[in-house]
Amino acid sequence: MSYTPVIRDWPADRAILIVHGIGNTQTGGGEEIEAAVRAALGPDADSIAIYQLYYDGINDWFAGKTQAAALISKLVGKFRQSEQNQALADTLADYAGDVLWPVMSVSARVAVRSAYIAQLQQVVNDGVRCGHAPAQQRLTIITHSLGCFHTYEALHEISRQSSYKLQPGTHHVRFENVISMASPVQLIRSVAGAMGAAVPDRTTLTTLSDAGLSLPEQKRLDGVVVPSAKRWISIAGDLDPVGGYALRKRLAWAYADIPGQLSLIDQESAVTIANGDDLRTALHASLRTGKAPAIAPNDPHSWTAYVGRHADDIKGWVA
Amino acid sequence: MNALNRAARHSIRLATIGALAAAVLAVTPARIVQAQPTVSESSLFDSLVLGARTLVEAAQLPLGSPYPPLIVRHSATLARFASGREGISLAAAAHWKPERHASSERAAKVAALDSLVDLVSECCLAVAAVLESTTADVVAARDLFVRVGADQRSQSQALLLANLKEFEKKFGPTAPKLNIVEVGLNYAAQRLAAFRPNARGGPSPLELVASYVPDYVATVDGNARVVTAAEIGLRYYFVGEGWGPLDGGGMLRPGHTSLGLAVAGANDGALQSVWRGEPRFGAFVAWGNIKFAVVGLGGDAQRILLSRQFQKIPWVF
Repeated sequence: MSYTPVIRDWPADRAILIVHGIGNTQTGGGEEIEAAVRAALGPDADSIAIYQLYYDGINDWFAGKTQAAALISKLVGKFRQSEQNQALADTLADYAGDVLWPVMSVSARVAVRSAYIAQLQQVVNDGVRCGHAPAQQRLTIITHSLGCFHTYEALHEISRQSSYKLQPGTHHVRFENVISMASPVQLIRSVAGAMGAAVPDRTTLTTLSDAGLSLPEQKRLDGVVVPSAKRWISIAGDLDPVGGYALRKRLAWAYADIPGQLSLIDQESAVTIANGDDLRTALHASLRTGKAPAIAPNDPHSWTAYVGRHADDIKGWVA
Repeated sequence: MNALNRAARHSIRLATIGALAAAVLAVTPARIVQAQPTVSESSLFDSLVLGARTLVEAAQLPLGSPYPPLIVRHSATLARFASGREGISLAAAAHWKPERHASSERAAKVAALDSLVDLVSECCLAVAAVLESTTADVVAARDLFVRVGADQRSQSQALLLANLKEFEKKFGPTAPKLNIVEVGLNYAAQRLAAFRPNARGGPSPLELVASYVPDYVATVDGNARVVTAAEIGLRYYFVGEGWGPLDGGGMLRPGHTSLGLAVAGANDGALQSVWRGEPRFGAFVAWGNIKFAVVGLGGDAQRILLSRQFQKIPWVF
């Protein structure tokens, strides 16, 4: 299905772009995360144009062309023993494929980046159409997982290239906030770096830059350096391996520690019981019903959980 | 001089409405251009030149700023195309259709406009004195540059979306699928610039073909016979407008064509090894999903083969 950017009318001068990681959000979906963001913002949400970037459909072109997703599914299929494992295998297949394309296929890399930039252009021009010049727009990106990688690549690209008309110094397209949750940028840098020459055309992957990871910026003609984001926030859970942590230990080769970013590390709970109150409630319920206490494992990579933990922060940053 | 300035400012106000539409003309695809009201390109250039001066004055740039001399230079370039300098009446210059110009002239105009708009945007459009000004001339000039910037952004977006459509033609659901050998070959081929995305961000039209086709059909003595062949060659995608299934191109304007070497084994038949006995070499050509091949040319077992492009077994052939 052909890619079409999302178009919105702006109620005021603020807009948020929600950039997904993995999942089936080809042409829609993402209601859960948008609802979580709206809940965090409270009544303010009504005065903000909220966009979502859908690029899974583009990854699916490459997956379909090579049938790689099906192949990966088959490879992980031997681990399937239950419906839960089936879901896990499907997720692994999706995730492996989604990571695979931008690293191993130059075309996939360029195509997803183009879709991202086209959506950013739409956001900015929607703002202009509604009476807000770029310098007066207040933009925020909230992104998760692989979306952080695409955000990193896209914002560097638009800061470098004038032709997109999105440069922070020349065209005044600056983000009040880039809120990156569970970023795998360093993880991809380490893995793709180790792959060496197997990664084609490395020069088009900013993540692999010899200069290391950096925040996107533009140096103007008068020498003034203008960062693309006024505030670049990185949030990682201490049990989330995608964000660079394993068993509450930071993995230097996986945690995206970009100079200049605001780093927040969440204390995550491995199970749904986070404290003594939760435990007491579960035990009371168990005694009342005669059933086993409701204790289940938590998903340390859950985007809605990240947003929920930082609801007040998000409201403050976007305000 | 004051009279000249007043006239210039009056000109900005009068030209702005026409200039906005002209900016749209300048930066939108041809099919949209035809739907727009006809306006003067020279009025756009006049307005940009005069608007640039208004904004630079309003921004009160510091001494030694690198912007004014460059803005003057690019204004002078653009002014050559403006109405007064060329003596073109507004009525006569009622259309700016850049595609009608020689490419060098168009390139010069677009480059001058692009440079001027970027320079003025960079040094003026985030300055509080400009953003907060309520002076009519400054407001008109500011709105003009914001609008032209937005139109340039739309033009860039149109190019990105056109590129994405081309990617879809090559990689999307209507494109031929690759077998596992082709996946490897095309991955390796990315080392060559000809197989990587082009300078404007669209896909390479080329793809390597290496397939085993067990169901070519030939007629031998009036009877249909299945022949197995291997193909090694190059596929070329027609990614332009009007070609391929996405654009309803049909048989006459398919999405791709292929050409290369075809090899069949000594014996006819389905699912044969192409290396059994003495191989029969030849060539294949595909036009969309229809494929023809000739093997064993001039020999006793010459065959003219016909088949259809589709993958029978995932990853294999």
